[in-house]
Amino acid sequence: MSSVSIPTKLIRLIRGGGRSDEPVSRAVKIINSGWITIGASFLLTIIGIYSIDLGLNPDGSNGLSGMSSTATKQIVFMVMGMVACGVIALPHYKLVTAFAWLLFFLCLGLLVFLMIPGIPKSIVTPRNGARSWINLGFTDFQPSEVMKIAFVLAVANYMRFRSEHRRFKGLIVPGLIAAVPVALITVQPDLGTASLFVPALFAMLIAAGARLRHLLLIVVLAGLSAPAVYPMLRPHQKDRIVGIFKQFQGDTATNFDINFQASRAQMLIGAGQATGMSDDTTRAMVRYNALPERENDMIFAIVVARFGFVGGAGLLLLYVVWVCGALIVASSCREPIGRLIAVGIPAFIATQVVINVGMNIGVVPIIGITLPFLSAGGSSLITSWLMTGLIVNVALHRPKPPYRSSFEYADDDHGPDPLKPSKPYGRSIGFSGRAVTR
Amino acid sequence: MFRISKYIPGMFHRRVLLLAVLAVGSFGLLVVRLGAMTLGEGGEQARIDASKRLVRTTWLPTVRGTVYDRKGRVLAGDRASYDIAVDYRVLAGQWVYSDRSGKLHGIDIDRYAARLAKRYNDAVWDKLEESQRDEIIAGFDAALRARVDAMYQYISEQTGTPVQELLDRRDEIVRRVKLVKAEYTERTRERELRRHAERGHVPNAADLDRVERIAARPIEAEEEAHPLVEDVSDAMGFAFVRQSARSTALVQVDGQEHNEMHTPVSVLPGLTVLDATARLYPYKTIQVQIERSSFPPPLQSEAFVILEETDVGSMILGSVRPGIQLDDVQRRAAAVEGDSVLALRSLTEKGTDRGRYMHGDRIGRSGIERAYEDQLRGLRGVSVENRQTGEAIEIGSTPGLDVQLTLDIMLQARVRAILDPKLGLARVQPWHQNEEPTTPIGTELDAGVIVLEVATGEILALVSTPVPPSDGDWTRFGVRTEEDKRRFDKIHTPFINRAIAMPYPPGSVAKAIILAGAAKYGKYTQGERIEATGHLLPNQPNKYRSWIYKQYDMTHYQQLERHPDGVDALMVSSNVFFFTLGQRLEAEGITDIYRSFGVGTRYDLGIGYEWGGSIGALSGKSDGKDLSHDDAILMGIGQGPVTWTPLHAADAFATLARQGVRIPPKLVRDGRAPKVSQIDLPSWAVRDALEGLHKVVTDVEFGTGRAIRYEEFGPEAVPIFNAPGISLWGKTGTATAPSIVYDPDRIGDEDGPLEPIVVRKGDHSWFVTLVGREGGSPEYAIAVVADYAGSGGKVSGPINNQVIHALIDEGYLPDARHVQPARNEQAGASR
Repeated sequence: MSSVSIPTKLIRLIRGGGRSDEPVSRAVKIINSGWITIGASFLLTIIGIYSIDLGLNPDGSNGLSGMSSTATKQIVFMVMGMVACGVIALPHYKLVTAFAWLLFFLCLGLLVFLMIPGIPKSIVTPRNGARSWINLGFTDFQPSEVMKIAFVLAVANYMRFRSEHRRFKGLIVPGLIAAVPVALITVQPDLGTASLFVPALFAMLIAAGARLRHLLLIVVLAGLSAPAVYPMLRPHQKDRIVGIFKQFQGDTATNFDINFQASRAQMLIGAGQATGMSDDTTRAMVRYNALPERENDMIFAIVVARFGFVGGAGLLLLYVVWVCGALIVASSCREPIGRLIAVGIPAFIATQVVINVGMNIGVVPIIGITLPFLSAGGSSLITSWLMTGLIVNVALHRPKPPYRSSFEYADDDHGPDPLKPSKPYGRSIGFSGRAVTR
Repeated sequence: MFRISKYIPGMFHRRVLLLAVLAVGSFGLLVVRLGAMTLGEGGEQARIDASKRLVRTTWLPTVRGTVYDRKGRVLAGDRASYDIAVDYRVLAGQWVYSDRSGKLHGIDIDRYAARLAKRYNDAVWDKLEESQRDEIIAGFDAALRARVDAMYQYISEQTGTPVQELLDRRDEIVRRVKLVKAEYTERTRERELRRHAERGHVPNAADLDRVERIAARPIEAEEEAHPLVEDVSDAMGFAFVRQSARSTALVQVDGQEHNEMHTPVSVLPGLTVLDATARLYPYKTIQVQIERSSFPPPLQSEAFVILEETDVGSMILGSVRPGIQLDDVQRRAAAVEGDSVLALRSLTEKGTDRGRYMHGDRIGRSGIERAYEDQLRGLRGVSVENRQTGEAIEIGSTPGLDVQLTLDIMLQARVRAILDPKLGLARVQPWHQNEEPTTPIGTELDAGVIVLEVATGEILALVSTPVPPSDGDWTRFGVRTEEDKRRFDKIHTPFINRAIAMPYPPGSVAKAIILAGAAKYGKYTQGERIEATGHLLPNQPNKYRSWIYKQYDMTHYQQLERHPDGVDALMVSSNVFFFTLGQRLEAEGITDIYRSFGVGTRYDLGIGYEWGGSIGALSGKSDGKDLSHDDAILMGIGQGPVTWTPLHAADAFATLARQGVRIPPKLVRDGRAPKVSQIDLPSWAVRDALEGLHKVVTDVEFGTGRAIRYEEFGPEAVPIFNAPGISLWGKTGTATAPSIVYDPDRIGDEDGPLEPIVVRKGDHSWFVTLVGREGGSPEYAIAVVADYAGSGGKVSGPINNQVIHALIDEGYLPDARHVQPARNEQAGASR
C-alpha cells in the first residue's frame, strides 16, 4: 500500500476505489447542478453575516474591522464551512456512506453523553436550559447538528437495497432510526432540531417509494394524538402554543409577555414594507425594539426589516434554488444512496427554513431553531455547508457499480407485487453498469 | 385522462417532483403571508409602531392657572415645586430594576451583579471557573455600588446639599420605615395568631411559617420613593426628570471593556422626581376686623372685634382633587373636540392633547376650579428625542390660563363676618319680634348676600351661610352625631348656595319691578292713585289684605291721608295697590314682567348648581301658562307661585337702576362683551320706582325700611342705615315661606315610629338696596335674605347696612367719616 502515492490515493478516494485506470476527469462530472447549491449557500451566508452585523452592531460597520465580533466569527465559520464542504465533497459518497452507521452511533453516543448527569459544566454547558453543546475548548460543538447528516446517511444506507418500506410494517425500522435521535434531542430539550427529523425521514420515504397512504395515515394519527401530547408539554412550550392562538385572535395583550419575541419580530418584518429600510434605520430599529435572538432564530426579521418584502421573498427564493438544486442532483443520480442523500438533506434544509420563517412571521410557535446559513453559530453554519458538500458530492461523482435499480415501482400505490421492481433500471450487477445505464 | 407517469415514467422522479412541489408550495405560502405583513396598511402600521421606539418622549410638567380676584389678589395658585426622591429599596441598600411594564422590583446588589455578570459574559460564562466568575461578579457589584454613590454625588452637586446630609436623610428614612415595618409586622403577626386562637386552632409549623410570611409582606413605604431633597425649582426638577430616564450599559467594569449593547443599567437607580406642586388658596382664611359702632344699638360697641373667617369664597373657588377617572379623560377629549380654540391651543402636530390627564394629575372638583378646568389646566411640555440620531426637540410647557373673578375677596370676607352669628346680626334678637317657636332668641340665622356692581353686572360678593367646612369638622356647628348632621342638613342645607341656588319667594321686594312693569303694560299710569281699602276684594276682608290692615286694622289711606300712588305704595309697601296691579296685569302680564327681569333663567356663573327662578309650578316651564287669576294677584306682591334668588333680586334692582338695561351678572372677567338687553320701561315709571325705593329707606314718617324701634333703648326709632355720604334706595320684604318638616327617624325610605316635627316656620326676611355716592346714581345693588328670620326691615336691614359699611371700608364708596374731624383716627383705620 505504501507504494501508492498520495495523489493516487486521492484519485482513488474521489473515484470511490477500484482499480480502473479511468482518469479522474472522467469519473467526476465537473459541470453539475451541485454548483447551484454552492452559489446559493455562498449568497445566503453573506446575507447572514451582514444581517448578524445589522442586528448586533448599532453603529454600522466601517469594513471588516468595525463589524460586530459575532459577524466576524461568522466569516471564520464560513471559511471553515466552505473547507468542510470541499473536504466532504471530494471522496466518493459511497466511501462516505460506508461510515454512515459509525457516524450515526457516534452521534447517538454523544447525544447520550450530553444527558449524563454529573458531567462538569466546563464540558457540557447548558444554554437557556438546554444541554445541547459540548465545549471543545476553541468552540462549542452541537452533536444534534451533525446528527442530521448522520441520520440522512444512515437512513440512506439502510434503505438503499430494500423495499420493505413499501409495506406498513416496513416503516417501523426507519421510524426507529429516527425515533432514537429525536427522543434524545427532545430531552435536551431542543424541540426545534428534533422536529426536523420526521419530515426529513418522510421525504426520504416518499422518494424511496413508500406508499403515500401509509404515510398519510401516520400523519393523520399523529395529528389526532396531538391534543393528548399537549398536557405533557412544559409550561413555556404551552405558553408558546397559547401565544400563537392569541396572535391569531388579534390579542395584543400578550405582546409584552408570552408573545414578546414573536410580536417584535413581526413588527420589524412589517416595518420592512416593500423594499426595506436603510442600513442605519434598520440597526436603530432592531436595537430599540429589543428583538430577542436577533442574530439567531429571528434573523429573518432583520433581513426583511432591511430589504423588505423583496428581500424576504428573494431570500426564500434562494432557499428554493438551493432545495431545487439538490433535488435536481437527486434526479440526475441513478444510484439509491446518492438519491436518498440528495433528497434527505434538502428536506432538512427546507423544513428548517419553513419552521424558522414561520416562527418569524407568526404562523409557527417559537420553538428555537436556526435559519440555515444565516443564523450566527459555528455548528449550524458548518453543518449547513457540510450538507452542501454532500449534495455536491452526489452531483460530482458518477455512480459506481455495482448498483441496483433505485426505487422504481410499477405504480405508486397499487402494484400487484409491491416488493418487486416493475422494470430494471440499471443493472443489479455488472462490471460496467455505467456504460449500460447511460 | 392526464397521467403524469406518461411524461415522467420513473416513480422516483415523480416523487422528487412531488417533494419539490411541496417545498415550493410551502415557501410560496410563506411568501404570501410575508406579503400580507409587509405590503399595505399592516406594513405601514408596523413601521409606525417600530419607529415609536426610536423616539423617546418625555412629558414635562406644567402649572395650573391662577385665579385672581378683581383686585389681582391670588385666590388660587400653584406653587410649582418638586421633590427629588429615591426608591426606598435603593435607600436601604438594594438595587431596583423595572420590568417591561415599568414596575420597579428590588433586588440585592450582589444578586443583580451576578445576573449582569452572566449576561455580559454570556459567551464564555459557562466555561469559567467558579473563582473567575466570583471575580467578575465582584467587579459588577462594585460598578453598581459606584452608580449608587455617583447618584448621591449627582444629587448633591445639583441641589447643593452635602452628600453627608443626603446620607443622613437616607438613614433617617430607612430608620423610620423600619420602625413602621416592625410595628406592622408585629401587629399583623398578632392578628394572624389571634385568628387562629379564635378558631380554637393551634397553629402548626406550616401555619406559623405562613403567619411569618404574611407579617413580612412589604409595606407601601418599602416600595415607594422617599424625598431626599424637597422643594427644588422647575428647572432642576426638569433636569432630574431627564437624567432619571437615562440608563446605559456598564461599559467599564473592573478594567474590562463591554459592548454598549448590553443590558442597560439605570444611571440614577430608583431616582424619581415627585411633583410636589401644591394648589394654594391664600385667602381661604381671612382675619376681619369689624367695628361695631354702626351696629344696631343692642349690638353696638366702641371696641372692634377680630373674626377669623375660614373657607372664604370656597363655595365659589371650589377645589381640586387627585385621582383621574375615566369620566375626566372622556370629558377632556370631548372638550378638545368640541372647542376649536382649545384644540388649537392643546394639540400637538400629531394630534396629542398636551393637556390630557395623566396619572398623578389634579382636576377641578367644584366651583371655578371645575368650571374653568380646561382654561386653568396647563399644557405639558414635551421632549422628543430621536434615539437613532440623538436629536431632540423640546416644546416647553405652557402654564394654564389665569382666571380673574369679579369678586373682591376682602369684601367677601367682610360680608362673611357680618353674617357670622358671633356678631349677632345673623342671630334671632329680641327686637326682631320673631315669635315663631322654631326660631327662639339666639337662633343662628342662615343667610345669602349678593353685592353687584350696577354699571357692569359684576358680582363683588356672593355669600351664603352656613359654609360647609372644608376640613370636614362640623362640630363648630354643634354637629356631633349622624342624627345631628341629618337635622342640620335638613334645616340649614349647607351645600346649597343661598345666594344663587335656593328658591325664595320674592315678597314685597318685587313690588318695585311690578310697578315699573305695570307702567310698561299701561296697567299703571303716571300719578295714578289706587284706592287703598285694606283688602282687595270689598266683600272678603280676610283675603288679599294689606299688612297694615292685618296687623293694625287700618288702611294706608288712613295712614297717608291719601290714596297711594306708585311712589307711596312702594314707600308704605301697600299690598292692595300691588294686588290691584297683579289683577290688572293678569297671568300673562305678570309672567312677562318677572321673566323680563330674569326670573326663569339661570345665569350660568359656572360655580355649580343655580336656581333659575320659577313662575308657576317649581318644576314647570316658568311660562306662566299654569297660572290662575288669583296667582297673578298674589304675584303682584311677590307671593304666590313665583321664586327667585338673591342674585335675581340684585340683578332686578340693578336693571331698574339702569333704566331697564339688562346686563347679566357675572363672576368671571372673561373678556367677552356682556349680552346687554333692554326692557322698555317708561322712564317716569323707573323714576317713580326709584323714588319710592328711596323713600322706603329715607322717609322718616312712612318709610318701611328706614328705622327700627328698640324698645329697651327708648321710644325713638333708630335709623337702619347710618353710613354717611351715600344715597340709598331699598325695599324690605317679608316673604311667607313653606315650613321645614323634619322626621327624626326617617332614613332614606325607612321610617320609624317618631312623628315628623316642624323645625322652621315663618317668613324669610329680605332687604334689597341700591347704593351710590351722595347725590349720585345707584352704583351697587345689595340683596340680603335671611331664612325664617321674620321681618325684612328688622333682620336683613341691619345686615344690609353693614354690607354698605363694608363697601365703604373696601373703598367702593367714599368714606365720609374721614372728613369728620372728631372721628377717632385709629378706629377709622381699623375698618
